[in-house]
Amino acid sequence: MRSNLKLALLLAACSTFCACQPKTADSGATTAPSDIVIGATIPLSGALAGFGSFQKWGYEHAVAEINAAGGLRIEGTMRKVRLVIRDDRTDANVAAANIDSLVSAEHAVALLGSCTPPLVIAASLAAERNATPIVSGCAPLMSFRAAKQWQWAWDLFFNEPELAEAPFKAWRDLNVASNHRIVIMHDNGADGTVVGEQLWPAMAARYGYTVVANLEFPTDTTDFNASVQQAHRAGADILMVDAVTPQMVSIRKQLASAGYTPKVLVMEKGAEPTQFAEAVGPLADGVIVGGYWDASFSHAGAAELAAAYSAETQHSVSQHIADSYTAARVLLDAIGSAGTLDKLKLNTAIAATDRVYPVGSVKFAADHTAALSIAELQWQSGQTRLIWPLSPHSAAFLSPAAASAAAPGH
Amino acid sequence: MAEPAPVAAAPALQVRSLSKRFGGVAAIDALDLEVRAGEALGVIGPNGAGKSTLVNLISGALLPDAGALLLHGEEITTLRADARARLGIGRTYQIPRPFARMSVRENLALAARHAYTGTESPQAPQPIAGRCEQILERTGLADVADTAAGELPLLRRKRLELARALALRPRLLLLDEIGAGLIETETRALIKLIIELHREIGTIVLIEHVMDVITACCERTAVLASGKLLCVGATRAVLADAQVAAVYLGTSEATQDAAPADRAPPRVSQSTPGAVSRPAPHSAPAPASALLAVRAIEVHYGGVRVLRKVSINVQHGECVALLGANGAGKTTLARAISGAVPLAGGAIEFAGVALAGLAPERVTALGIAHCMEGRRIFSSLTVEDNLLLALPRMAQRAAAERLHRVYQMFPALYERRDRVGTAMSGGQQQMLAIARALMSQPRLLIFDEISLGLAPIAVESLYQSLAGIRAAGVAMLIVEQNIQRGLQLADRAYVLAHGEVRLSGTPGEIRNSQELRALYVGEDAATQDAT
Amino acid sequence: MRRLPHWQLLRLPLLVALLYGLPFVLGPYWQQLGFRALQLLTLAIAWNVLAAYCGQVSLGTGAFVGLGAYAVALSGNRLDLALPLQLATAGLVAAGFAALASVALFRLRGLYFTVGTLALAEALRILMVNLGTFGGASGIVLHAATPAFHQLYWLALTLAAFAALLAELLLRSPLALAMRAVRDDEEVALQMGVRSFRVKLGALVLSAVLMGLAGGLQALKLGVIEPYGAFGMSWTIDTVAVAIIGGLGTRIGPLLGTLVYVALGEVLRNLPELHAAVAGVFLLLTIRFAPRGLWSLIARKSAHG
Repeated sequence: MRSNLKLALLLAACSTFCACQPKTADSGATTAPSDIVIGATIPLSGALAGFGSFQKWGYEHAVAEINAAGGLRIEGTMRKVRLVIRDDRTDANVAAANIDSLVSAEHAVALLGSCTPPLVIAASLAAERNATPIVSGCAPLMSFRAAKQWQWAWDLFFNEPELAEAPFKAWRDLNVASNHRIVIMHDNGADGTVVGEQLWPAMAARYGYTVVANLEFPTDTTDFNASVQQAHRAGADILMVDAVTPQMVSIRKQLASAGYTPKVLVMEKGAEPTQFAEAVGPLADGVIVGGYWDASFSHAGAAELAAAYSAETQHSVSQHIADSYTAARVLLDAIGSAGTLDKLKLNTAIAATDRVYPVGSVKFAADHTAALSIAELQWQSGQTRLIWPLSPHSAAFLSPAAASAAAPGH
Repeated sequence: MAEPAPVAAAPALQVRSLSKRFGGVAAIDALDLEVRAGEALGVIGPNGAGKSTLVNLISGALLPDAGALLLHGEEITTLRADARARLGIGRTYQIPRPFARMSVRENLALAARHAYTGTESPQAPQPIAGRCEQILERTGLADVADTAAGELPLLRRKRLELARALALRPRLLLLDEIGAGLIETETRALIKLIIELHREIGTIVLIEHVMDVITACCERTAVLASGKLLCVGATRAVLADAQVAAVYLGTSEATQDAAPADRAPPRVSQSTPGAVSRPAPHSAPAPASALLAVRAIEVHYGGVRVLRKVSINVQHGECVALLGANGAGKTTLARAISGAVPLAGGAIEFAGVALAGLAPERVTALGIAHCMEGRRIFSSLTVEDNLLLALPRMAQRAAAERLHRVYQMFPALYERRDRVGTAMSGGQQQMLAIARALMSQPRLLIFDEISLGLAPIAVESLYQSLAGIRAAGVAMLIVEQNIQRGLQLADRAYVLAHGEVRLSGTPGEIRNSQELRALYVGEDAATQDAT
Repeated sequence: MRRLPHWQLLRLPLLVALLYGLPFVLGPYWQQLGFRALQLLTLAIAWNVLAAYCGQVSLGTGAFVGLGAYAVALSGNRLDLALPLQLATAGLVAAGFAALASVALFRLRGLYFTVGTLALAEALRILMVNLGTFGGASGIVLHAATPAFHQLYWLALTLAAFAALLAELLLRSPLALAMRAVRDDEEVALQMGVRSFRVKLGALVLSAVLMGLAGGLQALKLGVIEPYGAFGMSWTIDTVAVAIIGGLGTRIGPLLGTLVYVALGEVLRNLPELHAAVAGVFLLLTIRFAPRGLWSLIARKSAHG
């Protein structure tokens, strides 16, 4: 035991003398790997698994494209990209832990983010501490911006105020007739409160509408009957709802069973994924949802991206493939233009991004956000159609009342 | 004997028209009873008289429906159990409840820390360790001081109950049937211990079926019947009372001298082996055709050889008694046969099938039923459900017929067939356990200390039932502490000592053996007696 | 561990000192792993005291972890408290909540108690989702910069050492005997005069403090907290899994369980689909073949060998 003790003391003394600074980087990264490692954390299980599947495709598609073209030129040699994807199980704790281990164990030089503000912010904060650039494409800019002044984290998505304003602009441009009375229903989640409590009422006032009722509910409510009845009684032509998909499905069904069919029905966020339309069937028709992308967009590559997705998966296209694909491309292009794996130079290259991608043009502001342009989409016969901004491709506005009259089942 | 209580002092405990009902049944019915300060009061009564309920009411485990309890003149009726304990009421449990995963020593230490000191604060830790060691020595638990209490055999657990009461040192101690299942020397030691306890503690309420303990320790005795006080008075007078004899001791016991010797209740200290005779059919052992043949088996517990080359056999329809002192290895042998204990050597054959290595449920399926010490009734099920549960799947169709046969044997169970198992008295629960074993129509029944903790009258009827089972041609192996009871029923008997078979033969042969007494009570005790 | 020779008593502080030196030798990967392991170890020690020694099987880990996380975030952001005070707040808030909840919880025995604790985290999560003042569903971003990995590691090591010390002191105190008596048979313990409510409260508060502190560290690590992650079920599952795999009611069990559980997570980190399944199967196998935990197997082996 005595020799044991001496050995231990020696070890402790050695370690203190050898390095008086705690180590902040692993030495393992020096083993010149042939592949460039990009790490990604996305929700493949849990409440947000629906988004995660699109993100996975978008990230993988971008990497596959680059590798098909031979990879990226780093310090003069072409190197392939290896994408390591981790499931964060829709848990901010796991998202942060994933980022840590992607950098420390997988030696990822750059990262791709998760979806929705809690996960994106948790992952971004972890990336900041790891001094590793991360590009995300699924967190509304206001909440992302509010978290902190970012140094290594980048976000390309829409701005909440613009999304909140879009329906009003659309009604103006499309000459939608109504009694200008609005009922708002929103959850108390991150953007539910911002949109329902602040932005929509402000926009309504600016565009000459009256909010006759503003109903808030907790994010995990399942029974909306009281709110629906209250909304019904308020006598408004326009109902605007902000909630996540499961709640949105319940609300749409409970609206129908209460016999309440508003002339204009905006169901922000939750009505966007195809899962919504699959769950409510014909009741989806006429539902307006804000968006930032549609295959019919004129941006270069938009139609091709949609075609590639449909061909590979046989599923209908979601706008989330566009922002995730673009986020990955922005990162990969920055690596290519930097021509190095030095993280600081990489970060500078991301900041310098100024190009048109399938999702639209991307240019980061000083607060590390890049706003995507907004479009209004409407569910029509099981498909989302672009109804605003007006273009040769845009479809005509469909009132939910007209849709329910056309569908004899409802 | 206890010293007479000072006349002026307030009674240690006053029970005033106390009532407790379970469902529609009154377990204690407007009971009035006084325990004098400094006395040892015996409480007897048939099974189901409400004795255990009374203990629970006094200790605070149950709250009464009506009536009042006063401890040294202070009202304690609504106090909870822990508050009563801190006021100096201690108890033991009829079915021992040690802190199973704590060592024996820790069990005592906990009690000692909460010993009654007249104030509410627990004792300082210093003297505790020493006191515990002393108690361990006195109660003969020193050798198992570091064993987990849950691993002790039943009789040792009972001993631990008493040791814990000693450590707790209450003002009023309730002893709930601690004397059951002891052999003569042990009973003598117990009596000595209780008298010492009485001197140290002051007031004791002693619930007991072993009459010798009552007569030796209690100057006054109360008799309960159906939740009411039948009578209370000087112990001798109470036991001589004809009514008490009829209710409790059984009619044949009205006068002790007139009792036929072979119907004697468990009078451990007074029975003399030679006085009993009973013509027993002498069936010569014929191992070849034996129903059960145990051949030179060895059982080890953690390195200790508990059984050494034990060989016994049981013939078809034969009743064999397994006798011996505590720790002789009787229960281990029974458990080895039913597959609950692995063999370290030897072989067991039942009806030509080797049992070694078979799981207990396979052994049961072959036709061996084991009735264990401790009753293991499913407490939430009715009597009938308990019985039906024991029916093998193959025999579901015969359910009605088998129930009928079992109820014929135990009419008391038939009357209570819709009651929940634990709502019955100890004796009734034991009958249920036996009836349950019979449901599978076994070819061999093993009874392990089934008369533990039963009133004399209940033991009587239990053994009458066993005689009935034997008459029906079922082979039996009876593990018994009490030589007389075992030998009365058995065709043959084996006497075990220190894990070996030391004596075997017909009851007559065994009774006449010179070795018997030495073997049974232990050499030390025998020499002590001689001096 | 009963009576240690004095050189063995030195062993533990020496081990801790050695562990403090690790960040000088090992890089961020090991520091992160160390943080997670030490955090889990703290939780498992806390749970072990309450469940294995006092017999109160709790599924409420998430409640105390979440409260600790919120306490650190809010006391830092709104009151500008220094880090030690923030952590003290975390411990206090968790303890206060435990004391409050005990009034209702200890009316429940056995399985009902367990289910009751399960509801705690859920109730708190719903409360936080609905309380706009505490950030609602979107949560709170900590103003202070997140500490470096080695600092987090040192904090976690300090906490785990504190937890181990506290548990050791408790288990050597007379209270431990009363706790185990309540676990084995509460009714009999009462009948010996043990104030079982106080004993159970003591164990619950102690485990809540440690869990609250572990949650506080998590808030520091993430830099952002929100109700779903902070009060998440995975805290409870991880804690119970570690404690069971290691061995209930032993001092070494939590440590062994942590090492095995974290190592398992690392081996399977690139097979997320398999991770949950393999961890589950491992847990089942442990319960089936070593119901008293892996430590019991090792202890038995070494006793024979």
